[in-house]
Amino acid sequence: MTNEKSLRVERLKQRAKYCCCRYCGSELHVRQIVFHTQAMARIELYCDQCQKIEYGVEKEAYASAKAFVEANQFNYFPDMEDNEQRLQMNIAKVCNITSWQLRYLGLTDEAGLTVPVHINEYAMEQCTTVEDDRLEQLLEEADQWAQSLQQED
Amino acid sequence: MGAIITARGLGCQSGDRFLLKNVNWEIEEKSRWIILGMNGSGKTTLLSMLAGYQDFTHGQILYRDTDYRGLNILEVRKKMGFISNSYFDRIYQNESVMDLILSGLSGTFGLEEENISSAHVRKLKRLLERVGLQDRMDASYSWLSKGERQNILILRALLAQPEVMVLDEPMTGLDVVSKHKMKRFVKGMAEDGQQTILYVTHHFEEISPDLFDYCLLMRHGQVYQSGLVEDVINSEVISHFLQKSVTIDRMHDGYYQLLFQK
Repeated sequence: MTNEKSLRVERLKQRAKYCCCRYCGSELHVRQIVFHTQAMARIELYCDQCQKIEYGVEKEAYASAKAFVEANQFNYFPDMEDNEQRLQMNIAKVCNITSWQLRYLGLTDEAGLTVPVHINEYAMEQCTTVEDDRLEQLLEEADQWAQSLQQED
Repeated sequence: MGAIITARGLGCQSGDRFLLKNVNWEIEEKSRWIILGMNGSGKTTLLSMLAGYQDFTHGQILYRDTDYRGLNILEVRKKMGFISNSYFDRIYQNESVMDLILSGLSGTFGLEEENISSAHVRKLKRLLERVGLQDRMDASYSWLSKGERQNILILRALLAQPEVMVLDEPMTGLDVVSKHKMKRFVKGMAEDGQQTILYVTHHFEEISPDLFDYCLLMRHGQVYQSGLVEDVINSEVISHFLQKSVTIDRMHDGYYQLLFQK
């Protein structure tokens, strides 16, 4: 039982190192919430920025969720005013989904990510969206190029 | 049936002041208790201690004959469905409704993902729908009305399937409709008889001897008297307790009514 008690405290301390707030991405701290002789009963992870008890998410998952929300203008809360709070709630929503998927895929465990992750911030920007007109033009150019090859033969 | 909770010489001292002093109380499993007392009599302090949310400085509390100090207090909290606006309003502010309810599964104040399964989340959604709060899942606790907060705390308690329901003045601050719903919820739970119930109030019109077995009167942090509801809630005892001449009647719906004599 003593082990159980100290385990939670240790687990939260470790989690504070590899996780951040799901809403604002800030660092998490182990804070005493109430007075109690049993340490595990009085402490929680806390975000000083949001002033809330916050379990957090892996920092990489937060970065990914934030990038997704911003790049795609993802909005789960259409009834809310467009402000910082809505943005943070959307990021937190995607964080919950990402976190679930990472766990489901076995890419996270109680010690955080189980595999090294290399974030490619520009991955989505490398993709090009082609409009219909431009696509037709490209197809024509391709036809002309193919014909020129046949003539050479 | 044996005692599920026993308090022996229980006390809580803050500086020179005793918030609670020498409380001895044996709570039988599946018994239904009313805890009555005026403001500042130590009711919330006592219940938050029994529920494992507050420490004590004197005496001991036993859960099925095992001292709280030797138990994992988070496990104790899971067995006690603690519903107290006055307590949780001091803890929660910006936390989301979903995190708050799910925290009940681990007996902590914050979310503990390891204790949560998809089945729990599905159950949470069903419960929120039942009380018409499905749209509030992502809302902060501070955005909610008093009645909504009360419902959220009930769901937090129920999700962990507790053995004891600890309700601390659940009707306070509720509008008439919410009060009616709360009364129906308590009645259903009391009639069901599957859980031990500790119900704190200072309103006699919330008490019916048909729903509760025992009553504990508290004054100045101490137990004034305890016993069967009908032995404790009567004009003589309550007049003495309140130090005012009062008459206790029963209304047509079975609930008590307190009348001050001229």
